[in-house]
This record gives sequence, C-alpha cells and structure tokens, in this order.
Amino acid sequence: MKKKLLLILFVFIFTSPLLIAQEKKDYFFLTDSMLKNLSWLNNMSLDINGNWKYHAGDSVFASDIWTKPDFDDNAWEKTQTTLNVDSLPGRGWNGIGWFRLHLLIDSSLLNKPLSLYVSQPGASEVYLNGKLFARFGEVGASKNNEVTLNTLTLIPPLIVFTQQENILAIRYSGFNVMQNRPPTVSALGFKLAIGKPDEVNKAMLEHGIFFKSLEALVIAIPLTFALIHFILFLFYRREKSNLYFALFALILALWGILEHESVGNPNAVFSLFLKRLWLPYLAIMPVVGLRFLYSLFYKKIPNSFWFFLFASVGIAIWSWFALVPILSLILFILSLAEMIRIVIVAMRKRTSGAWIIGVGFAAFSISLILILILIVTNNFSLTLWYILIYLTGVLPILLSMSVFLSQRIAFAYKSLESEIKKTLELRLENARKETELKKASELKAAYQALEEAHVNLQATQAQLIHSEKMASLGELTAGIAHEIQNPLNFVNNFSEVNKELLTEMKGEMDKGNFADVKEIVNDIIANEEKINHHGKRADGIVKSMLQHSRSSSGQKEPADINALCDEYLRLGYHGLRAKDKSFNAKFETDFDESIGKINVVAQDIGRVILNLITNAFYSVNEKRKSAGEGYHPSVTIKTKKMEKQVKITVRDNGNGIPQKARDKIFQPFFTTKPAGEGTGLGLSLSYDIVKAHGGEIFVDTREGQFTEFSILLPL
Amino acid sequence: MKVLVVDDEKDVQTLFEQRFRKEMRSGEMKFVFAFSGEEALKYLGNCEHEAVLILSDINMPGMSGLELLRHIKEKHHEPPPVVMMITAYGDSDNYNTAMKLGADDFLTKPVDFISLKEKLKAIN
Repeated sequence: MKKKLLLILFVFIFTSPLLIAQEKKDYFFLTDSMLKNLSWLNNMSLDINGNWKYHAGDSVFASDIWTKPDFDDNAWEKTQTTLNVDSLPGRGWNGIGWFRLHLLIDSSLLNKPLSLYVSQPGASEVYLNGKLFARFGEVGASKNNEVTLNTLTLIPPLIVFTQQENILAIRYSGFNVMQNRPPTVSALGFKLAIGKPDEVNKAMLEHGIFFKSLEALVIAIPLTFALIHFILFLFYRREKSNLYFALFALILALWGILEHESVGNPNAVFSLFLKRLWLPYLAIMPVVGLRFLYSLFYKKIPNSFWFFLFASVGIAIWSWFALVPILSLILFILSLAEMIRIVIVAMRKRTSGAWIIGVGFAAFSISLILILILIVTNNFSLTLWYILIYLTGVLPILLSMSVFLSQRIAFAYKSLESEIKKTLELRLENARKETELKKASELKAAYQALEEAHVNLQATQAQLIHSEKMASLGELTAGIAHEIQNPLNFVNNFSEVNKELLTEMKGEMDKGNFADVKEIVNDIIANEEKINHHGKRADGIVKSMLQHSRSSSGQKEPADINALCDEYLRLGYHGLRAKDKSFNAKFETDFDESIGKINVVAQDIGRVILNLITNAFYSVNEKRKSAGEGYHPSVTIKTKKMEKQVKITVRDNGNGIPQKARDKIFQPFFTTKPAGEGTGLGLSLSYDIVKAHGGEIFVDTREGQFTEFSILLPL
Repeated sequence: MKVLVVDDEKDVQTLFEQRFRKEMRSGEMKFVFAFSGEEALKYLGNCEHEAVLILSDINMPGMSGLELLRHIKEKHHEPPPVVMMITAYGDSDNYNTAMKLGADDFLTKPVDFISLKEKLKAIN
C-alpha cells in the first residue's frame, strides 16, 4: 500500500528528473553520481530503462549468440523494457523476447560490487558479456512453463564490472501477466535496476526482514482485535459496536495482508493483482470505520452514512474497472474527515470515553502530518513509513477504539454490578420487610390473642371482684344478721316495754297520779328514742350491706370515716364469729373525732376497711389456734387526722406477714390462706381503691408479733 | 337477788331497767351491768358472793360469754352462781358448749322477758 498509495500521490511530484538517461548513441553510460541520492521509492536503485534493443520471440541458440558482445544487434528494434500495453514495440509482444543493452561503466565503478536485479511481473535471465549472470524466476515458452518471481522478495545478487564496455542481454518471458493482466498493471515488461549494495540491501531488507516481521504484527494485531471483538459480539449480539469494530479491525488487517502480499509474495503476477485491490479497498475501508463510529455515538444512523456507503460501493466498483484512484482518494479523505468530526462532536458533548478515541485519531493525524513533512523534505524511509503509519497511526486508532469498547463494557459491568447490588439489597430489603410483615402479622395475632386473653381476664377479674365481694358479703352476712338482730331486739323489747308503760300510765292516769304519769311518759319518750335509734341502726346496716353488694358508683361523697370504721369493724367481727364459733378477739377503737367527713367513695373505702379488719381478725384467730393461754387476740382500729391526710390504722397482734410474702401481698391472687378460703384479691383491690383515692397503703409487720396496715387518704 | 347482766350492748342496761322496773323498785331484784367478759370477771372478783345470777351474752369482743362461763364455773364461787347464757346465735354448737361448761340455762335473743322473769322468780 505504502508504495502504491504514495506512488499515486507523489508520482507526479517525483517524476524523476534523475532518469534522464544518457542516450549518447546506443549505449547506457553508468556513472557513480547516478547511483547517488536515489529514491527509496525505487528501493535506492536506478532503473536502466533506455537504449535497449529488442528481439521478439526466443531461439534455441539464442543464449549462445544473442548474449555475446560481438553480436550485431543493429537489426533489433529500439524499445523500452517496460512494454506498456499502449506502446508495445512494433514487432509486437507475444510473451517472450530478448533485450540487449550496451552498458558503459564509469571507471570509478569498475571492480566494485553493485546490486543488480530485474523488477518484473514475469521471469528473466540476465547475461553479462555472454555469460549467464542470474535467473529471476524461470523463463518459459508458455504460461505453464513460466515461473514468475517478484524480485522485491530477494536480496539482489551482486555484480562486478571488470571492464568499461559491457553487453547485458536479458531473456524475459511474461506469459502470465500478458494473458491474465490485472487492470492495474499496464506494463508487461520489466525494469533493470542497479544500485549500491549497501543501500539497495537496506531497502530490500526493509521490504524483507523488518517489513515481514512488522507487517505480520500489523496483520496480527488488527486480526486479534477483530477476533476478540467478534467473539464479544457473538456472546452479546445486542452490542453491535463490537461487530462493527471487528469488521473495521478486520479490514485494517486486510490492509496489512494486501500490503504484505502485494509486495512480499514471490508470485509477481499475484502481487500485481493484489495491488489492484487497493482502489476499492481505499474507498470501502474508511466507511467501515464510519459505521463503527456512528454505532458508538449515534443512536440512529444518520443519513450521511448512506451517502458514504453508496459512494464507497459505487466508487469501489468504478475504480476497480476504471483504475483511477482519485475518487477513492477523495472519498478516503472525506470519510477520514467525517470520522474526526464525529469524534470531536462526541468529545464536545462530553460523551463518556470519547476522548480515548480522540487520542487515537490525534495520534493518527500527527503521524500523517509527520509523513507529509518527511516526504516533502525527502527524509522519508520505509522504516519511518511503517512506524508512522502503523505504530503511531493505525494502531493508536485501533487500540483507542478497543479501549473505548472495553471501557464501555467495564462501565456496563460496573452499572450491572451496582444494579445487581441494588437488586440484592432490594431483595434483602424485601426479605427483611417480609420478615417484618410476618413478624408484624405474628405480633398482630399475638396481640389479638392477648387482647382476647385480656378481655377474658377482664371478665374473669370482674367475676373475681364480684366473687370477692360476695365472699366478703358472706363473711358479713352472719355479722349483719347479728347486727340487725340486736337493734331489732331492742326495737321489739323497747316497744314491748313501752306497751307495758302505756298500760301502766293508763292506770296511773285513772288514779289521777299525774306525777307518775309524767315520769312514765318521760320513760316512754326515752324508749321511743331507743326504738328509733336501733331502727335506724338496722336500717343503716341493711343499707350499707346493699351498698356493699352493689357495684361502685365511683362517686365521692362526704363520709364519716369513724362511723365507717366502726360499722365495718363490727360487721367484720360478727361475720367471723358467725363462721367460727370458737373465734373471739378483743377489738379496740381509737377514733380521732376531729376528722369529720371526708370525700371518699364510702362503699369502696368500706370495703378496704372491712378487708383489713377481716385479715386482722383472721390473723389473730390463726395465732390463737396455735398460741397458748396467755395470748389475747386483739385488733385495734385507729383514725388520726394529720395535716393534709387522714390516717387509718388497723393493727392486730397476730402472726405477722413472713418476709418472703411481704412484697407480694398487694399482688392480685396472692393469698396465704388455704385454697378456697381467700380469693387473693382483697389487698390487691384495696390497694387499687386507695390509689384511686390518691392515697397510700402500706404495711408494717413483724413476724409472729403484729401487723399494722396504714391507709393515708387525702383530706 | 342480785343479777349480773353481761352484754356488750349498752342499751341492754336501759332495757333491763325498764323491764324490771317494778322488781327493782320493790328491791326484789338488783341488777348490775358489765359490758364485757373482762369487766364481769373484775366485778365478780371484787364482790364475790353478791351476784346470784349471771346473765351473759355469748358474742362479745374480747372475752366471750362462753369463756366467762368457763372462768366462773372453774374458779369462782361456792356455791356457784346460776349462769344463764343469752345469745343471738341459738345454734347447737353454742348450746352444747355452754351446757358442757355448766351453763344453767340457754336463752336466745330476742329475750322473752316474761319467761325470763318467771325463771328469775323461780330461782329467787
């Protein structure tokens, strides 16, 4: 490519003025200066292209006659050895012929080795002064016998001229190129090239060793990229960019192959054929790159691409047949400009990673500029060409594109990773929520069960409170009976007495003994007061009993605490007496008469007092059962007005409360009584009642000696 | 005849005084009142032979009538006074205990003063 492209580009500029052959008479005079400052385009060698004599066809004796210096070739036709198809020799060209040249060597070049080779699409034999000097391929009489050789693939043989006048005879065949001439090839003939060995060999080596190794790399690297990205595409077909990049890399690898094979293939005709491919290649290659860049930076392929595509296909076909490179070149330059435009636009839009490709194109552009500078200043060499066009030109583009795609893949991985992480977190969150929901529903169920239990418990508690009430009522009944019985007895007795007294009074009145009548009346009045008193007493007891069994109204009303205490003390005492005939205890009251009435729910406080008294009597009774003669059960109830409170104390000299039970006595259902005797709610209810009154209840006790419950009620 | 009435109900005194007005006025009977067992014992301790008849309630705070009875029958008096127990609880337990302890009679409340009078007059 480099050769072809640059030849196309610069052949006009470099139309060599150096090639002004010295056409004195019919010989070619080779001087030392002619071998200096030769172009790398010609592999640092000089084409000996003038003053040749031509004989069409071959002869059995040719090598013995036509090669000799003394053979007279004046009858031969003067010709160019290049055998351009549009200017073939008058004697025509049938695929094989002989060429002779009288070559004069400047004395300075005598006895010095020079490189000599034939640049050809066919095969040739070179004779010097009648002796065979070299064969390049195998000259044949037909297409099939001929073996062509691309002499660029050789290190040229060395020739030493020992005399000034020499005869070069060349037997050349070009059947293959003649019969299957690629349209790119217009010359069927050859060029004899002579140069200084060190320079020519260096150029040839560049073609050979350096070129082969580097160019293999230039093929291998794009192919590797193509393969990797094609595989990436295969595994993930939605990322078309990988496919387009693979195609682009592949077409760049084709560049390397084309170049490598067109120059390095020993088959001269084949390499010529390949050279022709450059024209369509040049038109198509950048469009593939364009397609890739569009796929990277455009969501939708812009219309301009179709223009490029149709233009490239059209120009590729046209140039293949027309053999004119100019349109391919224009399209190449336009496509390149468009590629650079795309990248610059992407960079301006701050498309992620666009700068990477930008760097690749920048490197390529700088390399192109450097190449131009080097060509213009004639400092160019094949090595520099390879380095600049590949290593710092094409490779950066490829690499940057691959890096960009990799970065994109990495970015995709990263976002995928974060998505996965998010998904996982979401899943965890969901699991957590699910667990929470489950817990919540469990909790709800538990709560419902609890609520149900609570409702049941409340019902049970109400029932228990009721039964506690009933139990204390039971305790009361006997006492009440007694307490009612007594006043009723008095009522009955006093009314009987009054009846007697009235009878008596009647007698006294009859007697007219009014002094006695007056006395009797006083007695009757006193008795009536007694009757009234005891009637009220009974009434009060019945009322309080009813009150006790009724549920609490919760209304606080002024109540006489002392009367309340006294009443319940008696009720409690007689209640126990009724239950246990053996029971007896002394009870004392110590009431502070200054208390007056305080606001309480009398029924509730009465229950508390009754409870404490019942407990006290129970305790002293228990102790009485075990203690000996000297024990005198005693229960004292005491009230005392304090600054802001009323203190009610119930003290017994019973068994006291054991230490371990002390903390629990106010707990519901705690009882020290045998099963069935206590509900365990008495003190608990008492506690609640006192608290509800804003009061306090506490206990002082010594085991085996006494228990003293104190209630503080606010005034 | 001196009768010791033991009852924690103080109105019992008034009642007896009214009921036995004539007897008291005539000096036929004399009543002494104690309002607890302890008080009764104290009285008996002081005036040992004065009371011929003791009428005692059973249900009293402190010393009960039955205990008082036991005390009287065990420790006091030669000849022992007649002890009549009066109770609101006319149940067999109380009755049996009272009899076992040597009660001379067992009356239930409300007291039938007419029959009581007759009983007292019979003793007298």
